[in-house]
Amino acid sequence: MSELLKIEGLEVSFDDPAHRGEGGVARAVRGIDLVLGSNESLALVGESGSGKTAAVKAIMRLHDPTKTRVSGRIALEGRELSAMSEREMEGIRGRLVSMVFQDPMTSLNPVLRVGDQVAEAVSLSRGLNRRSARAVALELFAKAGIPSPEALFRRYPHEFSGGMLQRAMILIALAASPKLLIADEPTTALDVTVQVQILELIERQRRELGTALILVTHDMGVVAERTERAAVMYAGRIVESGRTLELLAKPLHPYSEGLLDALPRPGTRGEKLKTIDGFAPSVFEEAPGCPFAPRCRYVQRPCLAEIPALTEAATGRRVACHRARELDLRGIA
Amino acid sequence: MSLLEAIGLRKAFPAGRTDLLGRRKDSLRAVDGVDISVGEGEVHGLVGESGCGKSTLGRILLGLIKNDGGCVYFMGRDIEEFAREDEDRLRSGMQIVFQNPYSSLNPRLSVGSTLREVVRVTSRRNASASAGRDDASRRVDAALDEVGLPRDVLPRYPRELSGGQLQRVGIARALLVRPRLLIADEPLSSLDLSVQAQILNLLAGLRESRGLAMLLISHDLRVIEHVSDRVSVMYLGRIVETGPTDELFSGALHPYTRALIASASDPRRALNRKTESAVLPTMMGEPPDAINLPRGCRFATRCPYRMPRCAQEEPDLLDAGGGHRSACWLLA
Repeated sequence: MSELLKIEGLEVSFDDPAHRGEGGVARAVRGIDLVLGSNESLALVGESGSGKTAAVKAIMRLHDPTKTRVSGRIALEGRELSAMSEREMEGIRGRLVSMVFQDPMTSLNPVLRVGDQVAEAVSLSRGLNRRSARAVALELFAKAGIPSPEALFRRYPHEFSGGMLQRAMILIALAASPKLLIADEPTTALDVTVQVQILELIERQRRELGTALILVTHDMGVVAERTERAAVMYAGRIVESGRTLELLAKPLHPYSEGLLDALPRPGTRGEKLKTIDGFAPSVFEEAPGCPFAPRCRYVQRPCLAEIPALTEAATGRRVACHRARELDLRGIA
Repeated sequence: MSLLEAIGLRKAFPAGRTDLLGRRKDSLRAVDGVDISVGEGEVHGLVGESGCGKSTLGRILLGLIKNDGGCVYFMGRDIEEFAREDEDRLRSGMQIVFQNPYSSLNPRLSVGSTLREVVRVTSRRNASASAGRDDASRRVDAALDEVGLPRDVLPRYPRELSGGQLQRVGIARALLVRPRLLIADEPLSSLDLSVQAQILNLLAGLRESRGLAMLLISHDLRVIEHVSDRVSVMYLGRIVETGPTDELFSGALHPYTRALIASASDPRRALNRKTESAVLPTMMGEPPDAINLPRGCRFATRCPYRMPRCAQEEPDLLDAGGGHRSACWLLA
């Protein structure tokens, strides 16, 4: 598997004048290293505020440069993105890397017909004239499981259901057969019965086109069923990564264990769920020790002194925990 | 009779295209013939997807929305009559916890003011002169303890609290009037996973400590399964299956319930699938337009087991024994 994406030391911080008293800079991403092979699927898991979205938006270079500072290296097929001009970046977005967002309603133009928006993406990416692009787009509609594609092709975004809009968004994102698709909570706003269909569509299209996937989600079930590898984020850092099923069966970081413990288990009705007490640290501050230490049930003195680095714990497994070697954590097997 | 008993509830909202005078021509039958009950100390889980009418049903039960048809009995009395003659007692008997704790608290009132206001109103009603200021703060403190909040939240405002803390304030507010029934409408869905577990534990604990009955409305099957004694599944305004939790989850009868269970992503299933290599049964398409519902069974358009009869006649809930009922012709 060749290397498609390599991220080194990525940091993202936002100016936040409303919190001037606390320094005025929100440090959303605090040093991420990540490698993704072509065709590979990776889940980026974490709770709100952990920096998942800020990190993937940096790959697309979607942050507003006047309010955001992004540092570190992001290389796509060996080409450094931060060195590119905005014009060069436009050639990358959509063609090499595409993104699908949580809310499809705000990602489409409300005054243009959905079909025309898909056709435009097709025409731009394949250099087709309007007529041929429409024909291709219509085919894509049918393939994506949109019922009566010809009728829906002429409708506007507000006449679509959330699930149908998300299908159209996926078609637009994949129109140019990009090498990497970033899906940021693509099904969070949808009903579970529709969620499955959307995830299947992404899966099918991805396999057909050989597209790699970064799936940003907080849903452990989706992670388990849809991705080969997973990285767990906490307070702007990756605290653990590895093959998804291995990570779920035997987590190495206490935070991952806590997340899995918080899921109701079958056959334990009425029993108390284990919880992670306390709060995530403020995005404006940096404590000297492990950011999870104040909430960790395995905390010891060294944890409060030094931030643990993400290091290799076993083949393909990396963890940022001072006590990872001695702890025997519980997964969901 | 159960603590709460509702029979034949109906509610339609004007919807769809407008005529020349701007009147809506169609109607959306949000709740379309629903019977539901909650026993003393029981947790009844109501599960369904967005637009199925579960929130409307919850609000009808509370008397916050006027139903078009059917009756709601609380503590053996029709709530309409109850509301006319004894509204305070009705309100103190039944309370609601909302989905979004930010929008359900007054942003200009501190937590302490919000909670003391509840005590002030309820003690005025009880007309006991002893209910002075000391008593009020004692009751507020006790409520904070019960929901696991420290006293130092009292001077703070909603915007200064986290979602989980706010949801605890919302629950404390409801508890202060000492209700017998709590209707919790998606109390977890705006919260992060680790916080959801905390609030779920809190709700389950209240049932133990107070014998509080609960109608838990949620789209999340795992949450419903974890705390409910009984579960009802709602689809497009009707209850399509109801039964004791274990039976419903181990032997779902309605194709919609089965599809819901199969669609809910479950990390354990993925781990086991390495060996089983079973393909997930999924459901076709999306719900039909709720304004122009198809004739017959309203799930038929998506149902893999559709029979000719399903497009003609709508099934009522049919008895499968042991309190388990399903509105499906497969059972007939």
